[in-house]
Parts: sequence; structure tokens; C-alpha cells
Amino acid sequence: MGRLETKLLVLLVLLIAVPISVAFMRSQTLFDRSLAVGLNPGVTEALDDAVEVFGAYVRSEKARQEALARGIAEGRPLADRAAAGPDAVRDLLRGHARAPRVQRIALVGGPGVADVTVESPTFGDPARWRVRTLELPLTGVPGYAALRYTFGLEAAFLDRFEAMEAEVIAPRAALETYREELAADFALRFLLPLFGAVLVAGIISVVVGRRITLRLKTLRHAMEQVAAGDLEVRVAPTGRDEVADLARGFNDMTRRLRESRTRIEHLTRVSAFQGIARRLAHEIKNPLTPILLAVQQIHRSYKGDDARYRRTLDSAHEIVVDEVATLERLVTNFSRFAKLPTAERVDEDLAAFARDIVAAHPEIEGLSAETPDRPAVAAVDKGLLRQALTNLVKNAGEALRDVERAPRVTLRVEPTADAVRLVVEDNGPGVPRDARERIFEPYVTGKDDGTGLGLAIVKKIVLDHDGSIAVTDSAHGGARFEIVLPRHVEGEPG
Amino acid sequence: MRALLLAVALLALPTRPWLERDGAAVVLSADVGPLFDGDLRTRLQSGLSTTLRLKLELRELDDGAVIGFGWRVARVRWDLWDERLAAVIDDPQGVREQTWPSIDAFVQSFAAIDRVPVAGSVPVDERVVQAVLRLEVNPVSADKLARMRRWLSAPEGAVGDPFGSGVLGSFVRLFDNLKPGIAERVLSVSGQPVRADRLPFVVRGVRPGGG
Repeated sequence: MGRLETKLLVLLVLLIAVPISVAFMRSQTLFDRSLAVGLNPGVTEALDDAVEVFGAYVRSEKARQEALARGIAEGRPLADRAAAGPDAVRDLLRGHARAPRVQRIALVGGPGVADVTVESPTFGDPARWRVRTLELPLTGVPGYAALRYTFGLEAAFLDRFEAMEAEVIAPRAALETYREELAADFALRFLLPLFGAVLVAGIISVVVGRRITLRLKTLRHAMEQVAAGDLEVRVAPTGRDEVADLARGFNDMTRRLRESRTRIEHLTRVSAFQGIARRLAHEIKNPLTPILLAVQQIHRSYKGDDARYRRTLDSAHEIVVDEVATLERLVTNFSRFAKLPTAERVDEDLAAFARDIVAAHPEIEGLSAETPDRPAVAAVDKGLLRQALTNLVKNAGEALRDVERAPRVTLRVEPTADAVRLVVEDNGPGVPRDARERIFEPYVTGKDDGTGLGLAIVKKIVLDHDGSIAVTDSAHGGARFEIVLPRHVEGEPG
Repeated sequence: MRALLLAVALLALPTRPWLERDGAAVVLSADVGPLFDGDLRTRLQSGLSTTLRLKLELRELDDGAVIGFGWRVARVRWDLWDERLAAVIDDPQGVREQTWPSIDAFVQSFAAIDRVPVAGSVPVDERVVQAVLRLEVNPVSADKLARMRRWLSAPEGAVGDPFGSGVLGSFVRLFDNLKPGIAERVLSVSGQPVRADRLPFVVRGVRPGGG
């Protein structure tokens, strides 16, 4: 595992584990405190007291009712009323039956005596009550054997106790019993997702880290190849992230390096050829005049009448004069090539400039300009660029001399965001595909009377403008020379 | 009077677990009434429902391995108004409902372990065995524990009432967790270690340990 992968792994694991661990510790504390609040001895005691109070209340209510029943059974009034007859007894019992929670009071008659039963007028629906009946034997009550005393307690009250047990006491007891298990369970249920998250984070970091480091390794390998001089290397920019941007930047950089190297190589070659041209011009030009003068001297100084010799002399004189003229033209071209000035660039409207060039060459049949309405400004040396474009349109015109169809030469100006494209295309025979690179080299020509310097000069001028030139097939069927010139001089603000 | 006391003594069960052989089986007798102390009786009389689980274990003395097992479970509730104890009893004989007029009557019935089989057959050899009785008050139910765990981990409303509804619960089999677990209280009593080949044989008509 690489260092970046390790760092990513540690970082992601920390990013996941730290907040979750803090949350875990906090929630564990909260859990423990919540349990401690609910299960503290004070609450336990209060609940025990509540249960006890409830039981005591139920017992005391039963005892109270039993005391009331005994009071009736053992009281003097009952004996007196019993002696007075059933109606008197009923009156007495009716009074007692009005007491709260009493349902019914009955006297069980002895032999030959009817029972006397009195219902409470206020007891209401028996379904609302849990009832008990006490049967107390009677002594000293004439005619009656026992007192049946039926009383109740609200069923809702007893139900409330059961509800309290089901909803509060039993769950609380269960919580208390399972307290440690639940705390451990809670921790486990929190820690399991934590470990899961850490594991997932680890896997993600390893996978992502490995993808990134693999791509970075590829880039590093490509850089090593560039450092070794291989500028053809390219890196596939997979994805849309910064590493992909880096790969695209790297590819752009190698492309620029390639172009720069090509430019430097070309300029170096051209410079070398310029040196040769300068020397050749010097070496050839110097003896031309003495040669011409000597030949003219010989031609003029012969006064003889040998007609045959005269003809030979005239012919030789004519040949030497023509060849010297050719050599002088060659020397002039060499000198011009050797003395190409440095480009002095200023902003120019190349649309108007192109129109001027076309207007200046009416002799080139079919020459036309296609320019935009708005200015197409670029920093150029007007004189040098004129030389280059003139060279191209003249070449096109010459290429069309032997073509039977109507000649067509177009000089087009196409401004783009950061450059101006100048296109010269014709409907001539075109440039063979295998000759397209070589034709810009000095002394390479396809014409019988060419010096092979025209396109070399064009390319040098273009390169001196930090531009590029390429030849392709024209849509018209001939050659298409495309010059791309930056709008601004490199190193200066745009 | 002396004859009556002697008769009572002969009829009474031993308070410490007593092992006997009944054919190939091993049976256990005891009266675990003394385990029902004041606190437990107060609890039973509180009106709250209580689960009592009595485990009868036959263990090897050497390593404590359980080689025989019996059990009895009761879920009881003292009715404060009607003054009677309602219970659901669960043991190898099945599940049944019963009522008792008092706590003492219930304890006397529940605590009497009278020749209850704890092992179908135990090799008659020199191994030393011991009877252990554990009385668990409100023991953990595996089901309840699972429900509480679900309740703890699930969002509100995702699971039902973790504590179950109804104080006595449904009349399903109560004994759902044989593992030694957690309980509000655990009371236990052990018998004398005895060699398996020296276990006394059951004598019909004579109370266990009475001879």
C-alpha cells in the first residue's frame, strides 16, 4: 500500500470513527444517565410505596366496610327495630345502605321469618364495581339469623393498579433486571455500525486511493519518459476529477513541447541554411561580375573574320550572360533568405490586410478574399506577413497555370477566440501527402525553376510570429495552407 | 402429642434436596418453602404479578456438569380485593390455572418437590452427584429480552410493546428459557454430595429421607 493510500485510509477512518466515537460516548453517557434516573433507588422506593399504599388502601376500605357491617350487626338499633317488625328493620337498613360503596344489605330471616333486603339507591351499575359480601351471624336480633352486607370498590380503581403494573412497574423491573445486558447491547448495537462504517470507509479509501495512485503512477511514468526525451507519450485522461485535469494538462504540455521542439528544430535548420545561403551568395556573387566582364571582353575583342568562330563566340557569350543572370537571381534569393529580418509585431487588422493583398495581385487569375465584416486583429510584422502570403498566393497561381478548369484561389481570414486563421486554398493539383512535411524545408521544391526557399521563408516567418502552418487538402480539390497566428505576442498581456 | 409430632416428621419432606433411585431414574425430593423468605412473601402479597422458576438440577460434583434436570414455573398474582392467589403453573405435567386462598397454601403446594424425576437414567458408578435447587424470581425470558433488544435498537413504532401486554400474559408455555439467566432474585439450596451407586432406592409408603 502506497503512502497516499495509507494517508487516505487513516484520514477516512478518522473522519468516520472520531465523530461516531464521540457520539457513541455521549449517547452511552446519556443512556446510562437515563437508566440511572429511571432506576434510581428513590424511584424504586416510591414505586414500592405506591404499591404498598395501594394495598393498604384496599385493605383499609375492606376493613372499614367490615367495621360498618359489624356495627350494624352488633348495634342496639337493629335489635330494637327487629322487635318492631320488618318495616322498621327496612327503614334502618335503608339508612345504612345510603353509605358510599354499599350495594345491598340483607337480613337473613330465621325460621318462619322472611328475609329483608335493601338495595342502595346510589350504587348504580354493578359492572362498574368489584363486590364482596360479608355474612355476619346475628345474636340478640329477634327473628333474624344473619346479616349479609354487600359492598364494592370501583373496578376502574383496581384496573388502574393493574395498568400501573403493566405500564410502569413491570417494564421498570425488567429494565432493572436487564440493565447490564441492555447497556452492553446498546453499546454493541452502536459499535457494530461504527465498525461497519470504518470497514466501508477503509475499503472505499483503499479502492479510491488505489485508483488515484495508479493514475498518478501512470503520470509519473509518463513524466519520466518525457524527461528521457520522448515527447510522443500521452496519458489517457480518465474521469472528470483533478487527476484527469492533470493528465489533460500533461498531454497539452507534451503537445506544446513537441511543437516547440519542432519549431526550434526548424528554426535551427533554417538558421543553418541561412548561413549557407549567405556564404553561397557571397561566394557566387563575387566571381560573377569578373566572369561576365571577361566573357564580354573576349566577345568584344575578337576582330577576326572566321564566321564559324564568331558564331561559337556569340553563342558562348549568350549562354554565359543568361547563366550569370540566373546565378544572380539565385544569389539575390539566397541573400533575401539569409537576411530575413526579425519580426517587429504590431496589432493589425488581418481582414483588411488580406483584402489589400488580393487587390495588389490582379495578375493572379481567380484570386479572391473571404474576410469577416469585423476586424480580425493580431500582432504581426506586416512586411514579413505580406511576403509570406504573397508567396503562397503566387505559388497557388503558378500551380494553376496548367490546370484546365477555371482557377480559384481563396485567401480566407477566420478569427477565433485567441488566434486568427489565414487560409490560402486553391483548386489546383494539390500537394502529395508524403511531401507535405518536406515542402517547408529549405531547398526542397516541386517546380523546375524553383529555388526551394519560398515555403521555407513562409514557415520561418510564421514561426517568428509564434504561429503554425500546415498543408492539407482543400475543399476545392487543391492545396490548403493554413496559418494560425496568435492574437497577442507571447509574454505580453492579452 | 409425641406420636403426632413423629407422624408430622415422617410425613414432612426434607428441606434439603434428597436424591433417590426409582428404577433407572433419579428422583428428587425437597421442601423449598424455606427459600420463600419474608421479602419474597411480601412481594407475592403485594398484588404485583410474579414469575417463579424452580430449577431442579442433578450435577456432577467434579465439574458441575448438569446431568439431570427438572423444573416448575409459576406466574402468580395475589388478588387484593378477592384475597386469593391466582396462578398459572407450568411443569412437565403441563400448563394449568389454579387459585389458593393464601400465600402459605400456595407456597406449601409449589415448594413441595415430591420425588420429581430429574434424570431418566444415571450410570450406577462411583461418580459423585449433587442436587441443586435454584428458585429464580422474575427470571429473564429469552423472548422478552429479544423484544427489549429490538425495542432498544428499532425506531419508535417499529416494534410493539417490549414488555408484553397483560400482567399474567397469555396462557402459553411459560418455561421458554432453560439457560441460567438473569432474574430479580436467585435463591438456591444444594443437597449433600452422594455417590451415584449409593443413592437410596425409593421405598413406597415411606417419605423421602424419612428412613
